[in-house]
Amino acid sequence: MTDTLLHIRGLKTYFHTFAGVIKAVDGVDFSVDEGEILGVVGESGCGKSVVGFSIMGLTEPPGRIESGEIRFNGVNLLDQDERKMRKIRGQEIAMIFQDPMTSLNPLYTIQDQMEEVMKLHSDMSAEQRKKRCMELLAEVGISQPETRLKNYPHQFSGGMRQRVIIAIALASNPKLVIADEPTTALDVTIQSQILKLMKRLVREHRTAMILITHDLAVVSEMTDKIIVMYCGRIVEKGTRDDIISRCRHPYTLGLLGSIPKLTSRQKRLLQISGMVPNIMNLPPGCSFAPRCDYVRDRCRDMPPELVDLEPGHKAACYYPVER
Amino acid sequence: MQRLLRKARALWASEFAHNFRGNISAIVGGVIILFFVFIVAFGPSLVKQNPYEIASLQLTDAYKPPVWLSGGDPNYFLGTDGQGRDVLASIVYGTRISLFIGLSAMICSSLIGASLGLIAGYYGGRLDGVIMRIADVQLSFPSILIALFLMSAFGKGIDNILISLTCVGWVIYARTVRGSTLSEKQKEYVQAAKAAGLSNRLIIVRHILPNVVTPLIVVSTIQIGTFILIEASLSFLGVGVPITKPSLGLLVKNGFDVLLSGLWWTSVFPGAFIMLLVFGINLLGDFLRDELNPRLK
Amino acid sequence: MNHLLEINELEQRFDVSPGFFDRLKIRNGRLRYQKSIVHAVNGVNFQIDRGEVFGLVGESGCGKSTIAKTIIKLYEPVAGQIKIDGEDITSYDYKKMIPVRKIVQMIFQDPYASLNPRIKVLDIITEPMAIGGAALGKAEIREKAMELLSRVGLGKEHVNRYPHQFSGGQRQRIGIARALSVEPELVIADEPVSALDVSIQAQILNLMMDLKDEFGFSYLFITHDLSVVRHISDRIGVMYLGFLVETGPCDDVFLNPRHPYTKALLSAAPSVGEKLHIDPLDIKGEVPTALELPPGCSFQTRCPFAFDRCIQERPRLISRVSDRMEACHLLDN
Repeated sequence: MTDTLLHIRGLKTYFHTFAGVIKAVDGVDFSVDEGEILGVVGESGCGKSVVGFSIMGLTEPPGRIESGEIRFNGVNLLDQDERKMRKIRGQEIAMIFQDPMTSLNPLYTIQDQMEEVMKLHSDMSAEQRKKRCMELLAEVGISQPETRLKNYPHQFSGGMRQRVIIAIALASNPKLVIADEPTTALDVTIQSQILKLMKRLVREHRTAMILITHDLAVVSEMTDKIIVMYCGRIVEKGTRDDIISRCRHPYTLGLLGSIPKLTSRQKRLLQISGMVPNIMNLPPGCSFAPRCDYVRDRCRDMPPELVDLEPGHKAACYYPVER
Repeated sequence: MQRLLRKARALWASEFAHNFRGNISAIVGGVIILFFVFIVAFGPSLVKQNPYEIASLQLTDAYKPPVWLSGGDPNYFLGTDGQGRDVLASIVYGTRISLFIGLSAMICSSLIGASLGLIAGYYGGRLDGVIMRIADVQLSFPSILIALFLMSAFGKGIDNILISLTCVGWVIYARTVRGSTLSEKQKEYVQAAKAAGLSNRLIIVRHILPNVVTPLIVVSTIQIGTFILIEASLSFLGVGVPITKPSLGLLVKNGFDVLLSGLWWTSVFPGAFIMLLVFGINLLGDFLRDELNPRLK
Repeated sequence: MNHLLEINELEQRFDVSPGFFDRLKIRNGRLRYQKSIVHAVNGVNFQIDRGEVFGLVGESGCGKSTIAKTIIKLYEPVAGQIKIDGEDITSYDYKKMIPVRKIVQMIFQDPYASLNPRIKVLDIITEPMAIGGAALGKAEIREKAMELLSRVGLGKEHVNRYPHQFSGGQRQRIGIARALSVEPELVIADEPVSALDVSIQAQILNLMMDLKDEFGFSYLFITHDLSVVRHISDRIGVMYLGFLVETGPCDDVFLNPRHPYTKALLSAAPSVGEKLHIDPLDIKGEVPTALELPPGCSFQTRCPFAFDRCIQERPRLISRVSDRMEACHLLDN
């Protein structure tokens, strides 16, 4: 019986810019259980990264969390002051960012950067810290950890840096890891290594993971549950099989159809017509209506709420596609 | 006319104007510059005396203090100098000269400096090496020293000043433009132009130049102030403008000899105006630099 | 019948040596002068015929983009031969290349950097036409530009706008229109959809295929994305560290990869739904540096099947089975 680790309700994060209000996240609900891997998938501008930053409390002005509840281990993170959040960051919830080239400070050794997290959140002695660093490097598959500790980031390749970053994230055994496009900047063969590593570690340590990405193939291989976002809202959520094999929302359908198959050639790819609407000027009703092949009048009046299709599988659509 | 009005209205509503209105130092800088523009444009007609017309001077009115001190004369608001020249009038005319020199020097150095920077950045190699080494050598000397040396060699006169200032000032333009050129050169639209078969000359002029103009504007604005100061220093040291066309710097010098005997107004007021002018330029320049800085795409 | 594009033993190297004093290094107790040379392309051979799509695939640093830019003479080749429709353009200077540039055009990767932000769409699209060509009147040029825009799915009114007013996908369409303005016979597309969202990617890929069917030109399509290359290519070439390691008809290579690196690449590719039916091959380690190529086969440092011949002798790209070529000693046994 697994407990719910993270429960998000009605999260709204808006950006107040000179040109208007950007409703980056506009009413998002989901939960993550202990040891579960949740995929947050969507195209650029859908708000998926902002969700990750909101959970960590890293939104900066002009961004602001307008309303909602982020319950982590029973505590509402939005009620916590900055001091308490700093205790949580790195210790209970860790984050992995997209670009391994800039996520590490080029002026400090790997050892310094790994130990920084440990110094902040524990009182291990220097010897204990060094031992832990070597353990972690071995766990993420970096050979000769003793010498590598003294190296600087520029002496590592992109894939190895990402391994170090994963090691830093797991250093204090966090309960939740948020990974924002962790393999997008890596080559295919390295990506495969890193994803396998992440999955293994997360399962071994029973850490929950929120994997934020635009890559449906990655999410298809890595996750237990998936939520699909469009224009700041969740349009469909369910288990991995629900979404990959039995999706019902026209956007999810279009998205999956747009991806060329690795196994056979098609004459034409399914394409979603039009473009993502201007986030400051969203159409009334369903945000996807202008591009939807199945649109009807009702869709243009009111934005649809998430409705149950099967247990655990929901879609925000008045006329979910029949399968 | 219609289009101009529309553009003006768009500018007023733009983010640029909005940030300007919210930024106190920018507004102060703007007010100062407007004040000086007013002086340059309308000053001579508002001031009763033309300090260059020797016939209009009254020696008996020499060294009159500012109007609010005892012995002051309402005809001479800020007092007079040793020749009976109205200090305020001298400042008005002197500002025109100082600004003229500052602006002209800026235009000359930016033209030469930007061209050299574009060539160095785009072609690279030996040409770049040579230009940059000359620049480095020049930067190891204080600019005033170089200007001083050149002026002693050339002699006084406004055109000589312009030449000296250009020789001194091109370096910063060249470096700035070279940096921007290096970064634009890597961008794909330049490669696309090459792939289309465009000649190097056309690529520099049509593609790279318009995209390196922004940092150029920022540097130019602040350089006007620097040039005004260098000219003021040169004039103060006696190798600047000729006596017949005193800039603010020369005015300071003229009053300097009698400064310690208590006749402070002939020196201090022109000096204060130099300070105010350069201060205004710097405030505006800082604002421009922050505004024009390319942030998130 | 000449191949439209023929590449023979093409080589490209870049001197990335640091400043003079950094080039002096102490090796074996002696002071040596050492340059740093990146061996980007190391003797590549392939051909593209009229009307076909040749996909060049590989991971970052394999040299595929460098080949593209060398073909179009953005870089001068260090060695080898480039032939366009039988004409050897390898040592052509700027002037001689002008007519060639009507035959070969390029589409770039970054929709945000490939269009000059200060120039109107009209001028961007028509720039290639204006060079060394027939002097068309202003009105005719405008007509042509609007026609091109509607061909790539944009409205004619966009002619007067600036790039920043367009989305990524639209900018890429403008880039395509620019390449098509001279009616080329070969279009080199350097990662044209890598920077685009999935749904826009599908639109652009469909557009590129439609245009090819309509105009009949060939593509040299460069990408790191295996599902994209599968979808669009007739034949593919797989690159590793500046070497072409395998070529062949696309479906063949995907169903039955012969070179170990190709096998590893295909097994590593994540896919939605059905996976490729090949034995998974995991390779360890990272791509070695192109500054010092390993002796022998470039892949031997990571290949699970490497044996002594692989370390001593560099394998040549040879055809053993019809229409397929591989550079691997393993397949000789």
